[in-house]
Amino acid sequence: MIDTPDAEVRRPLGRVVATERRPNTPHEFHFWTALDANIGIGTIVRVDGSVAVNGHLPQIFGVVMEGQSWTDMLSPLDDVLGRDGQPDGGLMATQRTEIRLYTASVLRHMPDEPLQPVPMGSVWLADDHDIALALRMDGYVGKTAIPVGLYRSGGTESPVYLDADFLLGPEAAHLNITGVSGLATKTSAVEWLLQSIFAHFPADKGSVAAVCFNVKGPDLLYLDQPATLADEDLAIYAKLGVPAEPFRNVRYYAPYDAALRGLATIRSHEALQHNVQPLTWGLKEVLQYAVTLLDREDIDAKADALIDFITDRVVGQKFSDPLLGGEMVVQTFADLDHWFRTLLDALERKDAQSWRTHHVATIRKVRNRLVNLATRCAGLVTDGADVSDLPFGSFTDRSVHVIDVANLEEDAQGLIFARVVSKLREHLERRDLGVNHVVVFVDELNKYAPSDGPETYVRRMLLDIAERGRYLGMVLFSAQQFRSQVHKRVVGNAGTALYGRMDGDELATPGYAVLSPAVRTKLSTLTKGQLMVRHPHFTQPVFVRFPRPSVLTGRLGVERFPAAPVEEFDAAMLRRLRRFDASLTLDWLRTVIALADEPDVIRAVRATEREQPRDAKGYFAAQFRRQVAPRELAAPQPLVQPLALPVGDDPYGF
Amino acid sequence: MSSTAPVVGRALDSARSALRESLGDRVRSAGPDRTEALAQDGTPLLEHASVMLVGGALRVMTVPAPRCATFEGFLDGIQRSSTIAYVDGVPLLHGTAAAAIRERDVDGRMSTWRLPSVDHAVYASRGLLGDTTWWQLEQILEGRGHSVRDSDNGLPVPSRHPSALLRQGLDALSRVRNDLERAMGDAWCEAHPARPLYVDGSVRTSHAMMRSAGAVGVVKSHATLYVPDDVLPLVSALDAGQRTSVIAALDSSDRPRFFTWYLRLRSAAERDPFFGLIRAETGVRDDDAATVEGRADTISAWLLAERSPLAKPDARWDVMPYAIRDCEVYLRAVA
Repeated sequence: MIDTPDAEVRRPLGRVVATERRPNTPHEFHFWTALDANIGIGTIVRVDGSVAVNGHLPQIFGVVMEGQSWTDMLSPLDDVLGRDGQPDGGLMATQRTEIRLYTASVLRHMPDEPLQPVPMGSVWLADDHDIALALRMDGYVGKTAIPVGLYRSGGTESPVYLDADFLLGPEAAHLNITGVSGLATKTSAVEWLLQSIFAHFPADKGSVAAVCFNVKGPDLLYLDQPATLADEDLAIYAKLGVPAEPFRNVRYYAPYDAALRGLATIRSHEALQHNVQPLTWGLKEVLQYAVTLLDREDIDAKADALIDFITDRVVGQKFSDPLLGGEMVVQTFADLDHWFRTLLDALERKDAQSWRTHHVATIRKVRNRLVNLATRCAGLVTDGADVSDLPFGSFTDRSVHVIDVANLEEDAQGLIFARVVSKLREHLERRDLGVNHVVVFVDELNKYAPSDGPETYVRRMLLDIAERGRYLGMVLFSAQQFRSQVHKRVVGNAGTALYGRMDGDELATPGYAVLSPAVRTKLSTLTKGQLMVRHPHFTQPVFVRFPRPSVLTGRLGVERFPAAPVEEFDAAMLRRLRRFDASLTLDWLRTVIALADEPDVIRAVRATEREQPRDAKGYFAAQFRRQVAPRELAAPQPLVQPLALPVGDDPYGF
Repeated sequence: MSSTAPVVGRALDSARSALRESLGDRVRSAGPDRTEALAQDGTPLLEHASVMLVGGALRVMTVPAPRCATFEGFLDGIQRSSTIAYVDGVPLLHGTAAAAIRERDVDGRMSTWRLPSVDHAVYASRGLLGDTTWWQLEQILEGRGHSVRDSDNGLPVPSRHPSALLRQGLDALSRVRNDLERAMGDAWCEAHPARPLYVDGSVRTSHAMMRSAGAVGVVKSHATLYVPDDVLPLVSALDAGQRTSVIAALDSSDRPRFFTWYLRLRSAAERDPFFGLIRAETGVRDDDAATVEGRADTISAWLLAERSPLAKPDARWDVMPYAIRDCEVYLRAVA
């Protein structure tokens, strides 16, 4: 995959120079070039030493980190005088001697030992072969290489690869991307990189899937829709061997909106419903992660113990207690509420202050907090037993699962994040998720894993993935606008870091002090599609260009597939049912549900969605037949019995 | 000392003001001090050259404004020396001489025409050292890559005074430098008979350069004057962009050997009389006076075009074009 150096005779780009004041070191060197040299910040160069060490002529690879130019002019006043004080005045017969002096950071010495200061020598523009050596990609290209973009400089256009072992584990893992919003960098880069991973992740490393949390807008909602790409982008796809096509296997998940009339997602266009499914959880699914929704300062150890008891001993099994008067089965929030009411009524009747060491006040408090969950996360948490979840245990290779949490309250977002990540982790630990590796993409780390602020369950989960995920195959791809304001251990554990265009204030923070002023300037002026990459194999940051994603952008997606308008209840339910039977009509639905309440209708629609029966029409209607079964009418009976029957022909009966 | 300097300065200012009040325009400010340079330290001031004023009298002429840079080549040389040892009290002077032409492209960028000429040698008085020692010197130094040259130049040694001997060695080195410059200029004129060549110094030692239509010698120092004393104030009063009429320097047969004229590159107001003053030299052709003056105007315009950029920080920036400084810097780097 690495091209061999061409035989074309080329001219050196520059020459290494060193002075006492500006000496070269093993990690940095200086060189000058002609004024028209095609070189800039980020250019990778090769130095050919002329004195053999241990029988080898040293070669040093470096990346340009700083550039300076000056002339022999001692004072600006000389130019003023030379031009008679007029900026456009004076005939400047001769161009002043000008130097272009560059400073490069060493990427690699060959041979590696002995490590010496960079020798004087000629400087050459790196070609494909040089770049592979400079970035130490020669060790994994053809084995575990994942294209991240094209290095472009001075006419050189070379693929840059990440090492899958250091991107998805087990050597290192995780990726963090930072950049200002609105420049199509963060989301686009992750979409591109996922495509690249899906195309190049080696088969002998196992299978891989992605779970993406869409936390804002429509960014990730059209991953299965093709984009129109420019020739330049198509050329990059071709050069890097990544198919320029949308993701083939994408599933979307979203809870219902608060009114339960539809899913809380912008991807509600009728044409896109084939791979959208509700995300709804019942009591059993939620209770285990209820702690994410509960205020830790509010739930003390006693309450915690009761919640654990309910989780372990009550929910989802037959529970009997003399106080309750018989066997009870708690499957839903409604059942749980009934269980609590029964228990509290019994305690009240007996005038008891505790039950099984739990004080009645604690029981009341826990009841209040738990039963309230269904209200706080309406749409996600169902009062009944109908559950629609990610296919934990049957994830397929190269599948993408997008969970749209953009329109949810923070509580619900936290619950979804905690449960999905926990379930992924559980299954990965048991090796029964369905895939060996799963990439979890979370945007807006400034919100979910800030460096300051209160400790949250979500932040703890992110830290846990960042610190231990790679051993399980769980890889965190995270993004944010301000890296400096994200928890250090989250970004610090990211083996690979991408940087798009950066805000000046952000670049002024201490975390970027290791970059030269020129690199910081370049970072603040990066165009769309440009990234700075840090990777364990690269000893210095490298600038690359990646193509536009081959999937529809959120903005175009919304234009092409506008969200379904807010509908009347009947129409909303019909739209959900028509996913299974397009022949259903509004008149039919209204006839079927004429006597039903809205919660009953919703329950019936959910049951249909959950079961996805062949005969959706019949299945749905059957939900109501049981409730409103027809009855034979008895013979008409007089409403009021006469006080007395008439006697004889006496019309008065007396 | 330092506490008295401002007092002296104020006293001098006061004296200058008093002189102006009494003598009016006859008093001229000397500008920044160049006393030692103007006194031609160490250089013998020559008698007036044998000249003929073309047109019969020296006139002041205004040069047409330059429109573009015309010179394409710039010839200069350098020399560098150091005393490496004394043998029997005779100094051994290591001298480096070099010459190069820097070529200017249409964008005003400089590059080296062909290769520079560089000469390294050790100069010593063979007459004082004696043949045996001289032979030993040659054995030792030439074996190490140093050629040895006799600084006596075939003349009797005037003195054993070390300074005199060093002066003699430096003169020999200067001759080598002049030879290198001349050879370089000849090569240019042979290759490009008409391409304008700015020669830093006189062209009169080279037949090829004297015959060339493009070679122009520019002399910055004025140890030898080419005008009679009585018209010297006219030269001193030249304003920026003005020149004198052409002067023909005569050979021993009183025939014109080369043409020369003075040109003021920069205003000398509040400066010494030689500030910005150069003397141009060209070869003689069979032209009438009007043609000669016309050509002097043309060349003067070329020279005026070289005023910018300034050749600072060279102390001779008032009379030196930047391209010549470029040539010197180049030679110092390679020689």
